[in-house]
Amino acid sequence: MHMNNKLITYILMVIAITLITFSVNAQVKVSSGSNSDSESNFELTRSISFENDSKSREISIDIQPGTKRFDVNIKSRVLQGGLTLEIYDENNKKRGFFKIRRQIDSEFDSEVTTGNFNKSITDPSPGEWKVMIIPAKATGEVFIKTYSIL
Amino acid sequence: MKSLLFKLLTGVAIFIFHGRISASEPGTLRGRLLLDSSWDQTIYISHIPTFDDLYTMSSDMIISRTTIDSLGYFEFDISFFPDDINLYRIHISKKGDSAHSIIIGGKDENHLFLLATGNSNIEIEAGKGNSPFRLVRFANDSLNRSFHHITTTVKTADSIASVSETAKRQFVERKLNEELLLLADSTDNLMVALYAIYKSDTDATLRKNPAFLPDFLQRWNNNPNPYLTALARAHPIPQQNNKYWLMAFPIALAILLGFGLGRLKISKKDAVKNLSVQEKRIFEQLKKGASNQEISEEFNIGVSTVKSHVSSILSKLNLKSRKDIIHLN
Repeated sequence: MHMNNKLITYILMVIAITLITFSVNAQVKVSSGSNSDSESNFELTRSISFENDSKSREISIDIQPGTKRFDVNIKSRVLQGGLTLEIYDENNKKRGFFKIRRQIDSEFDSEVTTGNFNKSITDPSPGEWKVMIIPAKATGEVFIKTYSIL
Repeated sequence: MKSLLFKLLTGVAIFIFHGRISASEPGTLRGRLLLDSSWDQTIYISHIPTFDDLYTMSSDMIISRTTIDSLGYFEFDISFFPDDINLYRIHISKKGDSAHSIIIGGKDENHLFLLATGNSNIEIEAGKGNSPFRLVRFANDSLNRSFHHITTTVKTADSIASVSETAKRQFVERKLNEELLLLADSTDNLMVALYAIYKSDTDATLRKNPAFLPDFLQRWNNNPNPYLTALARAHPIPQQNNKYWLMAFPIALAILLGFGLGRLKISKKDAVKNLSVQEKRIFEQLKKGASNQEISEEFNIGVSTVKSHVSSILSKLNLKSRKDIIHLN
């Protein structure tokens, strides 16, 4: 009888702990659900390839009014020649800049040269950012990924 | 047992004193990075010829490489570096990425800038931060501490600005620019000053304070330095100032000539006033082109007297002939 009481108490405690745990998890799930209902996320990826190219290109990135966060990630690689990337914000102020180049007769023939740029801004001003891609007899590619939370 | 103990103690002693011995050798760049397994265990050093090349990556810029051991320690022999201070960059690469990679911004930022000569003894200790070089400390190196202070100031301001509303972001950026220019103006090290200028918003500075850059270049004029030359080339003094000087010169010359001629005219007027009464009367006749005979008959005086007066007039007015009197205004 005494053992049965102990066993029942133990089982009840386990059930109670289990119920409490599930209810907490349910709350966390609901709150993340409500977050995703009130926000919109936009991800855009653009890729530009070039071969023995020296033609400059300008890529525009629109930031919509009400954007809460804006991330820009640029990855570039050259197998030959040179590549300059310049990043301008909506006020035409230069926010980033890098150059990569590779010579064919370099010691590491199988290597490429890569350049990456990352920027994250909270509450960005609406407008147009620009990425200037300036190849110099370059063979390679550029990937521009932007992520916006509205 | 004793020999094993002896070997162990010797090993420990070498391990402890290795740092002390190496630290005293000039021409060494050493340090420790805290890397996770996603990073390759090779570190590279590149020479940066101008500040415009800070973010240029190319295999021909890499001048040395070494291995990072399992504890994160690395060491470069930099005794072959030139004697004057130059700018260098050390970088690491992600596993699977090219050795020649530059990552700017984000948690995987993979490089660090520093100043060095062939006699430098540089020690770097990286803290546990988001990126390998984020929390770096230069031990016993005031030059690189000042230099690195600029990097951390810019990154801190950028971090604050990135998470701020527009007005606050603009305020932070404006204050950062002011601080960098103040640093450039007050430091006694040219490379630190140049780095501060490079990291500032140069276009805004040129608009608001056009005299800053020419004054800066003038201040460091006696320091032949390729980094300074590159800055001067990138921001030549506007030709407009020279044009004004070119225009001002002939104007000044004209004024001086006019002044001079004016004074000449005045002195002749004064000289005429100083003629005697008779000389003035004869001067008036000479201006009309009268001959000595005509003057003699006009004033009822001898011709020789007229000649004497004419000679005196010419002498007082510093003129050579009667024709000069006729042409005198």
